[in-house]
Amino acid sequence: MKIIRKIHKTIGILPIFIMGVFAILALFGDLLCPYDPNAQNLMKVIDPMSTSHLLGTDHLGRDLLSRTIAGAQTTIKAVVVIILFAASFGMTVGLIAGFMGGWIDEILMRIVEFGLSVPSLVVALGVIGVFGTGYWNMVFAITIAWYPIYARLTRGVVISVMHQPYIESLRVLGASRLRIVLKHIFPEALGAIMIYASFDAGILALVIANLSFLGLGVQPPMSEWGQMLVTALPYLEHSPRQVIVPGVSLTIMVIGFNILGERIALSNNPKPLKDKIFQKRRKLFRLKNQEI
Amino acid sequence: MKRFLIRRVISAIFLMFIASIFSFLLINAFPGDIAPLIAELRGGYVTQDIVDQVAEEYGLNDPVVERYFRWLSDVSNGNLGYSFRTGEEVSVELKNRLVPTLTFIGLGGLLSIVIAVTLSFCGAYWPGGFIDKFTRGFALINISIPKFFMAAMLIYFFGVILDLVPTFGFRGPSSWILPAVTIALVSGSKQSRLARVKLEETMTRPYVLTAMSKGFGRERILFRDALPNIVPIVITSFGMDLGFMAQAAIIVEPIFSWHGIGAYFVQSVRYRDLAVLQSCLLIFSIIFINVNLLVDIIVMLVNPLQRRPKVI
Repeated sequence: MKIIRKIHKTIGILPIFIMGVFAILALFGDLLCPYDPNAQNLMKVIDPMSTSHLLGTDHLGRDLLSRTIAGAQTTIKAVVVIILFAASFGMTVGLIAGFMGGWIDEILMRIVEFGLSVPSLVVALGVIGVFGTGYWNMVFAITIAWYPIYARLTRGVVISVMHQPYIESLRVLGASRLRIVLKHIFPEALGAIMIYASFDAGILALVIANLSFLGLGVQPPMSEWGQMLVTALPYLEHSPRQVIVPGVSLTIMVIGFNILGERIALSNNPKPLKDKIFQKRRKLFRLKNQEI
Repeated sequence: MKRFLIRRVISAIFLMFIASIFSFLLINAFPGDIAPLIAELRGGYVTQDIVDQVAEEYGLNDPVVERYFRWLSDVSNGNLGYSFRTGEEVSVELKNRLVPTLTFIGLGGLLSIVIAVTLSFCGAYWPGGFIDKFTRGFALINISIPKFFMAAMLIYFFGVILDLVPTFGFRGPSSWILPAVTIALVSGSKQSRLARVKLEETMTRPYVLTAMSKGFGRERILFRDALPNIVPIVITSFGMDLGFMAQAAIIVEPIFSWHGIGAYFVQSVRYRDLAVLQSCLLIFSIIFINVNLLVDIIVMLVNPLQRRPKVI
């Protein structure tokens, strides 16, 4: 109960509700779809909303609600997979760079710095251009574009932890290097990475949708919001609903991720004293304004 | 300061060198042999003879290091090679497509500053009120919305329903409005959120309290005391956003059917036109690295705190 109250206090109800809905859709989406998302019915092309098709049908007579649910599944699964890949690869690079130091650190960090200075979409597009389109190629491409930030974050944590006295004493006690890295430095880095990942998930969902929108990410038999939107664009004038439904779903999901990440990041570094001072000053400030 | 400047420039040159290696190696990491692909893109029936001929023509049988330096010297002479698909010279094509992309980034950048300043100052001027909540919500929605959806909605409302502006093509100022607004809303909101947080933080500093106790009005404190303190941060974020806008050009240009560099890049990825892809990657990376360098230098000139060498 206490934990629930604490979560409620730090994160709030809105992002939890949004994330909960999308998590249920991702886990049980297959059961919730009223129709097969890929079943076409050319007799019912661009049907308006009705009781049999809650959100109507698209230009090939596919049920829009089922396709939206399937799109949620695709997006959430891809986000989770890419974060896992990018974080584990980035953490490995960061741990090696931070722990080894010297010229290994220098070379790895130059490469990471290059990755950070070029926007992720450009790198991902370059990788896709060489290796071709497809689901796993997209995952690979975004991982390549995404790991540098995790690598740099991990290296920062590693370097700040490495010079703590307790690591020195572990060395004196005769702990092996591997043990120090895996049992003492890794968990510290993991905490920072997880907080960052919660912030990152929204941007990642947008990048996946962008790639699919360009026709270079998730490929047609699978339904994905960006790709649903681009196939519906020619029909924008006659049935804007087909464009609005996937677009709004994606926006809501990203808003949920953004609020969640923001609140987690804010709650992570509590400054009770400073906060109190801030509040007092704000109060003073407001009082003064009312006087004027 | 001089030492910092020199170190920053050397690091940028080194990064550009890595960028050239990266864009060269990416093409050479192509799974399988590259020669049959080029032969295929030229069209027609592919035989072993043609493949051999292509390999000879592009010098694909030479060692990688030799090819890299040959390519590098070509690029530094302004020769970016020829498109595999159409046979056009890449540098000429890029030059032709520069105008739409620069218009997009320039107009979008200007508009985004206007939006960012309006939103953040409205929020900071009436903190906690309805306007503050509204600007915050508006900015949050704008940064969460996918750019292509924003573009589609703007096209629908202003192009289809109200029929005010043309919705596609690069034909005079009225057709520039929608793409610029699309990108300005997204990046302006991003900057306004940052500026808003920093303004709020600045307004709780002791010197603001001092100014208040001296009896200065709110406008004076906001504009004279708080504003100079957030300028370096906003410049940094604006510089980052110029890179972000070049990235946005990749998505927004095809929607409005502008023939810019972003659309060219997408086209090359779609047809796997590796010569164009390589050049675009190199150009994009060099632009981003130089923009970052420029932003760092400007921030250093604006903010005296940055001029001191950092003690680690």
